Amino acid sequence: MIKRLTSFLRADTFKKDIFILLAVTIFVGGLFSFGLAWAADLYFGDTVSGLVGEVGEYDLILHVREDAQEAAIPELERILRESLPGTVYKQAPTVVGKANFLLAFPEDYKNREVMEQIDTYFEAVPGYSGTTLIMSPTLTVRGVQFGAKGLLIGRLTELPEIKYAFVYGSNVVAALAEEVDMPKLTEKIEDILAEYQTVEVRFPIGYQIENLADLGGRLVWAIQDKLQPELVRDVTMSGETDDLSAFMDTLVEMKRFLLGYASEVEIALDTAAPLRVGERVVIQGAAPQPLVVGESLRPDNIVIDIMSIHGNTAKGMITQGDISAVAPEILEFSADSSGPVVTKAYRLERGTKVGPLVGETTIRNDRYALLLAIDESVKLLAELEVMAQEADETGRHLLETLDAFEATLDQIAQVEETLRLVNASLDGPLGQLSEINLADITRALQNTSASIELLLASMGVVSAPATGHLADVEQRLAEVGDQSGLDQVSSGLSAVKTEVAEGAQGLEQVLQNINPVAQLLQGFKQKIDQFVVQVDNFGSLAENSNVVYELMSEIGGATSSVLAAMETVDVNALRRDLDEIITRLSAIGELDTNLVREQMNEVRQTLPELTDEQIGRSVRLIDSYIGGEVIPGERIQLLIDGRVTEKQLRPIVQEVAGTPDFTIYTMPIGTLEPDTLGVVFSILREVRSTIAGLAAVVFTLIVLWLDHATIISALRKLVPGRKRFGGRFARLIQRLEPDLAGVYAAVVGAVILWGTYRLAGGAIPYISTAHLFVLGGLAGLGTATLAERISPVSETELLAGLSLGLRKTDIMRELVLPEGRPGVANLLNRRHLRFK
Amino acid sequence: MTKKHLEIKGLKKYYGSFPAVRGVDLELARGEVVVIMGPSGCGKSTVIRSINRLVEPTAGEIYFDGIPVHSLKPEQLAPLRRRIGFVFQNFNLIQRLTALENVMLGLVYAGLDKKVARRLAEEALAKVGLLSAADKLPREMSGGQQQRIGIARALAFQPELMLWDEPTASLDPILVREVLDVMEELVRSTGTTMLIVTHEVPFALRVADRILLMAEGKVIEEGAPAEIFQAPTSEVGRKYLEIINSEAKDVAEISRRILQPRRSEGKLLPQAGECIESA
Repeated sequence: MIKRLTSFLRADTFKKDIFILLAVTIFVGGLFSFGLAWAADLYFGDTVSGLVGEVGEYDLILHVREDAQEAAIPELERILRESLPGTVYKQAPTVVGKANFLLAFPEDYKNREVMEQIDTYFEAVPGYSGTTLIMSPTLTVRGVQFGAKGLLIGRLTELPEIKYAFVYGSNVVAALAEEVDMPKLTEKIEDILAEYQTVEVRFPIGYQIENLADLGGRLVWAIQDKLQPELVRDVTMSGETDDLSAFMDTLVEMKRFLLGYASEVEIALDTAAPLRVGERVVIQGAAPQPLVVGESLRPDNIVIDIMSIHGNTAKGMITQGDISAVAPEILEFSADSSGPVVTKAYRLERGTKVGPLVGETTIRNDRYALLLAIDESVKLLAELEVMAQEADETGRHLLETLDAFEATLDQIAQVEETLRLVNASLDGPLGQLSEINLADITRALQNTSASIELLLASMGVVSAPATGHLADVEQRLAEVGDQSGLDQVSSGLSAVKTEVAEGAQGLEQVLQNINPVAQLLQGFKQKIDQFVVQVDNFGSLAENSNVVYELMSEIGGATSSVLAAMETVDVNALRRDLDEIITRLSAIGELDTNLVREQMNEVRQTLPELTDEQIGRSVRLIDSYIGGEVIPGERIQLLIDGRVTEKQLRPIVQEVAGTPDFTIYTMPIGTLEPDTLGVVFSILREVRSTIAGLAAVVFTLIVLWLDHATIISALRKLVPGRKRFGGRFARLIQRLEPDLAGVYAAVVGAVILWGTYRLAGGAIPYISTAHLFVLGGLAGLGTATLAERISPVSETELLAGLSLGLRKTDIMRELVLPEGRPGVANLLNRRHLRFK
Repeated sequence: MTKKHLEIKGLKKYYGSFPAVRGVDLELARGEVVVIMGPSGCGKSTVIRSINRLVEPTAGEIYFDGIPVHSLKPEQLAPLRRRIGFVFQNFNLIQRLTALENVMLGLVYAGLDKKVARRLAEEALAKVGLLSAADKLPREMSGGQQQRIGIARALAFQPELMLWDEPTASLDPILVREVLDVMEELVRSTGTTMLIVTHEVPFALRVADRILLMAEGKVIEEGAPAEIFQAPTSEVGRKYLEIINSEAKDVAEISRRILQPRRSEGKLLPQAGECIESA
């Protein structure tokens, strides 16, 4: 082979000339195409590097509002000086109102700890508008689930090509060693990413999860138990949200909020009239006439959109009208008013026509119930406050009564003593009642009578608080609690009510202790008053001494019995009870009921003043925005082995969550992308390759036209097809013989294009080596077709050459090529010319 | 006349399906001058071009000096062609080369030293009277001069056989005479075997040892000039006779010319620029 090649190269033939021509052409073409592409690359590269520096020159772009640019510079310099010494910065062009600073960090700072906090260093810069990482060489895994970041960083840093990895926003960035086989590394990272997936289990709105973490934990346990994956981790609570997902969450919450105040519509479906989700039904509403099948919808009818159907029960949402129109009494608080409204529902057909009966609708509105309960609670609070005040006043009166009671008791005791002294004097040596003694007795009795009168008057004022009303209060409190869900308010008010009731009961017991004595005292007072009157009517004691003695004796007896009765009342104990009751009632009085009332009014104010229709339409709008019939309500996110399938997960989730009503989404834990600047320069490289490829194509065409068209023309004349003597068959064979010049042109075109393209490093998208050969071949054939026009060769000169015994090689060199167009062939041929 | 210098047997040539030559047999003795005549398209040029394989014959055998030309490989043809001079109808000069270079071209590529080649070329140019025009380019010369350069180029090799393919067909009558005189002188002064294709009947009568009349790719008459034109047997021959009569040529004169010795001494050809007298 080598011998043949050597022989070929030594031989003085035109074939060798062609071989050399092709080699030189490809070399020159490669240089030309590469040079052109290199120049373009240099130009664009300079432009890009002028904007963001060379690859790896800078690590971060700090964006600052243009208007704050001047103020930002000293602050940036201070931060770099104090916190990141050694960092250099360069101001880059301002783009779209943002001034940009290119920062290059010393190697010491290029580690996970610093890079993960890098944004925080610059937040104090006036006009700070974020940063863009342009560190190179790096690879970025975008959109990494927060819970997967640590795991991913751990796996990435195990790769020898990766120096370190860090979290940058929602991405994980891997800083690479300088010399890296990028395709191989990309493959490795993609393999790692494929090992994991993020699974999101979304429950529809309305599905309440009391303890999300618990459900997530149970789900993890169940998956681990049944599928034994290498990894399963609940990452729900560690989620981060971007702006869009936050907005989506807000919308979802808004929908949940609105639905919380919307009327709950439940339709018990008639099995004969099946209904589908998305259909609409109509109920009479505030319309005066009942609905009639076939008639048109009226504005005062209520329209309900069907949201879900389970078995024979459909749930819906009012999108026209309001429940208050159906039952105005719902706005009045009573035992029956806040109950559900029940009415017949008809299918709404073609948007406006009342269709057949579909079932019975039950509508309940918690918002109205809550409103009414708040109003009722405020009223109850006021009533209880009054009752507490009344009880408190009663208690205080009772204390005064007890004081009077004790004073009266003292007076009566004094009367008894006086009477005892008088009786003792009567039993003495003198044995006679004096006027003085009588006057003392009368006076004592008069004082006693006055005390008793005061006491009785006091007792007459005091009466037990009316406790009959408390039963009504208690009933209403229970309703507030049941119907509104205001349990705390209800229980608070109940506690107040209990305090008031117990106070009233205590007071009543005190009164019950005192009241029996009052009758005795009343009788005693009458006796005293009679005695005084009789004594006053006496002319002289002497004349009526027997009567006096008798009266005195009665008084004395009455006094003893009154005293005995009064002394049975434990005044001190009653006083202690009263003190306690008053203290407790006072505590109620000290409550800032105005504040409570204001707060309840504030709660009332916060309730949306929206009709069911407004809510329904808003919810429909939100649904149309966030899309999907199953709106994400609660969700659980799992980081899980990439091999686990949705099909495997579904039954487990259903079992653990206890509902089939959920959706499972599986997502990769991240998407691998090259670094930003790398992408730009990669694009530039692609542009360079494309330009090189295109230049190679153009060069090939030029060379074919300038050099080879002449050769092709000459070949056609010098090597005519072999002429055969014979008939039709021989002529047919002749036709089938390939046109040598055409074959030459196709081969040369293909070889030049392929060689030039490859040597120049050309790479045009979608063009393979096979394409190159085909394209080059076609260019050659095209040139062959036009060769006679592009570069005609004189046949007479060729014949002359032949007749003179020149070899074809010599003819090509001496006669053909010098007459051809100036090109590489012409240039190379000059060395062969004998006659220049 | 000695042994066969050139022998053609059953020569056929098809251009596609068209039979240009349909079996021509021909023999030339060394030193013989044979003229082929015939109407245009009868295959004269094809026959003459087939001899040095400027045209590839479809069938037949060609022997030159005993060499089977028809079976030579392409690389064996070049030395053969150097032994056969060929003068084209359209001169076929290399336009970028001077007159001298045109004549030198074959010599140089035959391996001669350039100086030797130059000397031989100058001698050839001198023979055709154009030495003074050696440095001129073809486009700077008249047609007659160009053809004389073509003749000099063929002569430079001192060929054993000269093939003339209607050398005057592209020339106006004045220049025809210039070229014919040169040719006639060459015939007379050299012993070269010649095969001439021409329409110039008087010239043919003067120089030919034998004349072949061709029609439709075949030789229809062959013989000495007097035989051919005194009693032509073919239609073509009769037409040529009419031409001769119409030109009022005296048969005796023709006979005289025929009998006149062909080779003579001294200056045969006018030099370039000299006025050529009408015959």
